Amino acid sequence: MLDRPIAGQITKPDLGQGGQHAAASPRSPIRADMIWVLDDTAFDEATYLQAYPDVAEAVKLGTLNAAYDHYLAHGQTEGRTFMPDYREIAQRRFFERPTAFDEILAASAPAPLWNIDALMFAPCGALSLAGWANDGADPIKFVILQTQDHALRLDQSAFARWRRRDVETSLTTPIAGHVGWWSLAMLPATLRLRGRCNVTVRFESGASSQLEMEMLQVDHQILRDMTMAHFAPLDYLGDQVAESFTALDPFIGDQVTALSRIISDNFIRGAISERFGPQAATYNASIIVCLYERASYFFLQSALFSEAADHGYEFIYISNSPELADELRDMARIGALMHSASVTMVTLPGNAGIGAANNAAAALARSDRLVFINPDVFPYEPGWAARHLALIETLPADQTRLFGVPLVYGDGALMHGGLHFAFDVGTTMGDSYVRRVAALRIEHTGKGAPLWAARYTTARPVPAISGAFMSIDRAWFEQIGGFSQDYLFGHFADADLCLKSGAAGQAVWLHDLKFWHLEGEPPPAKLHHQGGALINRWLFTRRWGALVESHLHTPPAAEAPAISKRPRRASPSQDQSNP
Amino acid sequence: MNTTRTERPRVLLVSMFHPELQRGGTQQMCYELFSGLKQRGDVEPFLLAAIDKSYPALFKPGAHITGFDQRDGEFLLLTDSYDPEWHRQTNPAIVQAYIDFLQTIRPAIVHFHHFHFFGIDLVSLTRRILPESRIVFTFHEFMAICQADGTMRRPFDGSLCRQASQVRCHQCFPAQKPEHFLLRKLWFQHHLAHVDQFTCPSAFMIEHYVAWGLPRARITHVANGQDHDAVSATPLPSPDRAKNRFGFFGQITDAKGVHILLRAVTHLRDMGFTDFTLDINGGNIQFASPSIRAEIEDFLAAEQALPYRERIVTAHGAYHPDDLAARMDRVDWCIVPSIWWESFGLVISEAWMAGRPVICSNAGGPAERISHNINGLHFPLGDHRALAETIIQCCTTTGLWAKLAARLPKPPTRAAMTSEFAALYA
Repeated sequence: MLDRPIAGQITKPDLGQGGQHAAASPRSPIRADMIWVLDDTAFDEATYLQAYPDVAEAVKLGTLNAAYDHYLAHGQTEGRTFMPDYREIAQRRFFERPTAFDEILAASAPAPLWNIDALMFAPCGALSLAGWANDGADPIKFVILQTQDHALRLDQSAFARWRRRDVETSLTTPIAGHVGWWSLAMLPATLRLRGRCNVTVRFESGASSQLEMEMLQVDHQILRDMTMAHFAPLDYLGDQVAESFTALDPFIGDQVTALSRIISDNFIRGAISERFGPQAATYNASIIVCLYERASYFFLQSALFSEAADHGYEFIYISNSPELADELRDMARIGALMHSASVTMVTLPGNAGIGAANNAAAALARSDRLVFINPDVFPYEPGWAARHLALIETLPADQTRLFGVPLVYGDGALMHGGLHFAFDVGTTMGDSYVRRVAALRIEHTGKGAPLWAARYTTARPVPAISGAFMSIDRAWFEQIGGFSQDYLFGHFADADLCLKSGAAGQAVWLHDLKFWHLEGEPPPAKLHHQGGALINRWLFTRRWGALVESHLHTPPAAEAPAISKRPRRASPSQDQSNP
Repeated sequence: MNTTRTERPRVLLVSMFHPELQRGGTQQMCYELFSGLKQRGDVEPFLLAAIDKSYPALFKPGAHITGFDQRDGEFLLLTDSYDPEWHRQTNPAIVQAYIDFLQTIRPAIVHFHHFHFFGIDLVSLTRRILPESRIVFTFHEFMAICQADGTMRRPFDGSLCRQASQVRCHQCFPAQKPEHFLLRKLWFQHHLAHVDQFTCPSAFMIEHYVAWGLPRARITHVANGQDHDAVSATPLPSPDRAKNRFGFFGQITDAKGVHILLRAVTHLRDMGFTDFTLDINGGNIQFASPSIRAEIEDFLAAEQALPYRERIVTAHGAYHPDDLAARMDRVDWCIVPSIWWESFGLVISEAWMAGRPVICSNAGGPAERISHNINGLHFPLGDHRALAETIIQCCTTTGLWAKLAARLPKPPTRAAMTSEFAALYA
């Protein structure tokens, strides 16, 4: 259900820009407006024009389109970015060296108090830093990091702010707003920030101060996880989710996603796989299970899904937990021996996330039908394997290209009859603004209902389905690009795939083939997983919020069957008219 | 050793432990059946007994199934890895060895006695390897139903459980979610679905398994039968002397209720009633819970410290079947104070063979087999005061022993049990 704005208000919750974050590449381009790396070899248009008036004149006359054209044609080979004139101007611009008047002003207004708590760098180019500044009256303008080899400037918009109650308690001076700040930035992979680091903070008044500290070198996964663990519990003046979205929007959200993609890609590249049991060239379907941290469900599924082997299914298990490798390998061997099943065991060197792992497993499949299931999903009744294949063979293709099933709790109630979407709206606030921010929420349709409530279990198109059981035509899976690998650790990747399918014109269906989903109260999530969940929710909202919101506010129409406010019970003819 | 194989149908008995190595009712009954089938001669029996590392010298590098003491048709499954939570094999090499063994023996019938120490998953594996074979499974307690060591006795208050469920099992094991117990049930029932015929040594057990979900039509009651020769030669107590000598025979574990018996002795001593003796025959106290073990050991130590004339209880330790007649000779009554659904009570059969009436808890197999005040006595399960009163009654009621002893049933024989199983194999 959409949490609508209060009647009479004319503002709408901020949904971000749908699609803006839809295709993060493994390494997002450096945001030149927020990060500036001072490097002898770096080209900067404005600096080049200022250093070489002849080029500026040519551009002015239209002989050249831009200074960069000259740099490519001549400047690069002439080494113009290494020449003293260029370097002096570049450095002056980079550091924004104050004028004499600024220096007088700065002397009369000392820099606000600030400090840095953490400064980490990973070899892939990820930089994470966090600190605080009592800069309510004189905001930070930028921060410069100088190591022996490099200088880097981060604009204030590259930082997110949060509330530091410890600072508020410790400082005797008045404090307003969020004094904490943090950032995560992806820098050029060639950059190596190491050793002692001089940190300069420049404020709007021109005042600045600096300190020196060690740049901590860490593995990129550790950097991400530590940063996410830092991000998850942050305190704000406003609503935590809304403030988190505000923190992620300008810069950090894309940076985290890009870093996570690098981590995932590295893990996928390091995968090892083995096949056990009888092997065929092709199968009727491929059951794909992504495992994480817990091995025990493996042998349970091998046994309880064993009828699949008699119907031409293969099993592909992919593990995000390398520490389980040997145990899982033994289980795979036993599963193949016990049930005469074809088992493929893929082990990743770390947690690549569900989306990336499932995509990697799908690449090893030898059938045209992919069935993604969670490790805690089990057949509800015998005969499921044949019924699943019969659905695909007998129903129109557009009803089975992507479909889910009713999932049943261990207590016998319905756990899932499809997914639908809702918004939570929270308030974010700064010194001069209050804004409402909407965050998408995924709900399980019919959760807790009795199984005889056919309105939730009958075959019909639904807005989305849980990845706990997802049957998809392989060609369609590949056509829509598989699971997004941008979601950290994996949450939201299933709904994202469904919305991608809907946006590409293929409705998602639910068919009444019940499975247990033994979801119980999970143990408390690790802090970095909590941070990842926030990032994922932000990303999912930014990608799909506007689309979902437009459908929620618009009565279901022929052009929009895949996303609806409530699950619609459609007749077969309606179903076919709304593919 | 006979190296010539006949064309008789082969029966493979798969057993938890070998009775020569570890005493216990399950393995003893399996071995009785193995011996009975050998005597009949119409089938060719094989025994595969799973053992753990209690006898490390019996293990051989690289071997997972091997012979046993040059005995014809007897093999050991050497299990060095086992998942006691899910009762499954965790070593692929053992699974492969079992497959090879089945394909070598090619039995027409595979009869499992319990699944402990070899794994419930070997049942469905047997079906896959030998799809035409007949699979028989004998329950010896309720481990498939109940995680509390198959006792169906609730750990938090000692009460007997009559029906397992996700929530009730979670109450017994709060650290595990209800879903765990659904999975546990799915797991066991998946494997047991491959069984053609179940048997239980007591009729009451059938109701528990039917309530759990097994089809009644596939469960049969086959009473445990034994060779009577070993115990039937025991001299009967003199009719003239008082019948005030009591004996316990069996495992010194929580479920067997020795501590209830000792509490009854303490109660009687406090009452000033001391004109009786109690012999404790049995071992394996290391499998008792720490608190019960301490209670029993403290009692026995204190008893040992008393002047000889004041001692009531004597612990004789574990015994071999060959010693049973001599041990029985020392007592007038056997007490079976089990605090769980004792599935059958082999000691009852042994006591009857020796002509000794039995005093038992009023639940499970013992209550089913013994008719109160007809051929034995019941007392309320776990009630040491009631047991104390029963002991007084036995010691002071003239003619009670003779009345009960005169009506002792004849326990099932090995031959009778073997015939019943042979009928199920057909």
